Amino acid sequence: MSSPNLPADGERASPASNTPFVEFSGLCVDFASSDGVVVALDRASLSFEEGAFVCIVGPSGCGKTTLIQTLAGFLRPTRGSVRLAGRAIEGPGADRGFVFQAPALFPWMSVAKNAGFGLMVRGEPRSQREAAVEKSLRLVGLWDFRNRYPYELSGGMQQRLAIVRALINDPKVLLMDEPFGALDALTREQMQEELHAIWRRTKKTIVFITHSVEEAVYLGTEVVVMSPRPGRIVACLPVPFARDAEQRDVRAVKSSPEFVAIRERVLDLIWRTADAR
Amino acid sequence: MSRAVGRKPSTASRRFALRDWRFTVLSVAIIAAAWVELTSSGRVSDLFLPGPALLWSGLVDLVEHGYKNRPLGVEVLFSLERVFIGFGTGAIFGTVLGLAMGYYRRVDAVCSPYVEFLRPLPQLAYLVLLIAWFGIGEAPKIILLFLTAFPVAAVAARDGVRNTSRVRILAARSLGAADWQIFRYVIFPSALTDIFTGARLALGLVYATLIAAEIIAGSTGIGWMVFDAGRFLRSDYVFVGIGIIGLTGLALDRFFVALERRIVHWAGK
Repeated sequence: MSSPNLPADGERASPASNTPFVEFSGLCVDFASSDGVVVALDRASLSFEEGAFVCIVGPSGCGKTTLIQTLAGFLRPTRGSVRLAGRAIEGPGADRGFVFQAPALFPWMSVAKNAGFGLMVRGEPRSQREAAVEKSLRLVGLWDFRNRYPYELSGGMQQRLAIVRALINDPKVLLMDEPFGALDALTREQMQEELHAIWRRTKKTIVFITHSVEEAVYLGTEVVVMSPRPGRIVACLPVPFARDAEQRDVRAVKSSPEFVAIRERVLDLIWRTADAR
Repeated sequence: MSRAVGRKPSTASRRFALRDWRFTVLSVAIIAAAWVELTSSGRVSDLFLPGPALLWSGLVDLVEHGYKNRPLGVEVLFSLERVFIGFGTGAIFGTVLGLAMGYYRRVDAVCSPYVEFLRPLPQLAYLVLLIAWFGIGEAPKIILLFLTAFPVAAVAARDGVRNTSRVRILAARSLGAADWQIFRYVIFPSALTDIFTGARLALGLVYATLIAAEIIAGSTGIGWMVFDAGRFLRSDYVFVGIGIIGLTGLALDRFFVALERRIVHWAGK
């Protein structure tokens, strides 16, 4: 790595104009398994700017989850590095919010307590915490459910709560590992719209893993295609649709020739990685 | 348990949760009828199985005069006190140790040989040793009940900690929780389901051990009463005593179930 990327003193690295906001460089992750070492990620390099909505697609076993978990700090790279705003990732932290496929909510806490968990553990005063919780629960229509428990919510509402919980810390980046994978088709499209609205409003950097190429092309400012065994990054395509329309019509966007062309191109890339094996 | 079953439509889980009371009533009625028929026809001696009338008079006799000059209620209280102290200390100590064993691998490595060895051991196997070590007073009885509850509670709490969803721990960590906060707000509540299951199991075992504990040269308690009455072939007293042990045990278990539903309200959902 070039030296300007190294933070001089722990606190704040002055991001030089050429420093990417998120940067994976030469990332390798090996796992020990019963039949030897499995290479989950092989020399993955990828970088993107603040405010990007990065969608990662690829077949099962391509290392999507491994990639996002190194950024979350849940996994340590075997070789290579992951940097956020110029600083190497040391472990999990409140500057990176994470949303799991199955909402990892705390069933023993009410909706409001779940939402405010991040502020509570970080010692935010009660009054500010409650104000922040009210504001964010109102935004996603969960305020009336604040005293309910997660198991009393629908799947879509649970996932909205998980997003609210991850965003309440005002993280630098929101990491989402197939967040809508377990939802039905209609709820899924509604959640896509909500997430898009959240992204536009908060201007958060989002890294989003999905199995749905259509979802990736519709939501992402870039779509990253990965190939399996060993996990590699095949392509990173810029996509215009997320930034494009102020008022967008889902059906019109998704059936437009431009959308179809990019979707087919991504699918083609995924198919080719499967053939190559 | 709930974890393995996962989410189910509420109608399906309700089917398993609710008992069909008609069949319960029918079942009890048939057994009661058979009891009345067998005893009143004289085919079974009162000595082996006292009939309803004899049982009733035995109960009235015990309630009015007590057993061997001590009121029945006092005998019951003696027993309940032992159960509460033995089970209470065993369950609390076991739970605390089990939480530590689940959380710290080294504590587990140090303690698990004793806990694992003690748990399947029949209590009667070391009863004689307890008498030899602690005499014939209250101490060996309480210690016996303590040793019954303690390993069960410890293993349950340890497994509860280990069953904590990894994803929930990661979620808490990525929200900025420190280790102690993860234990306090994620691991401990998550383990509560298993802790309650262990406590119920331990209470059942403690109850079963009660009679054995009170045989230790004891001269008090409902277990002792059953044992003593048995020696004098007073089967009416024996059956009344068994009934009291069974019903109080059932009541305690129901109390625990109610407590569990209230505290661990999310279990199975």
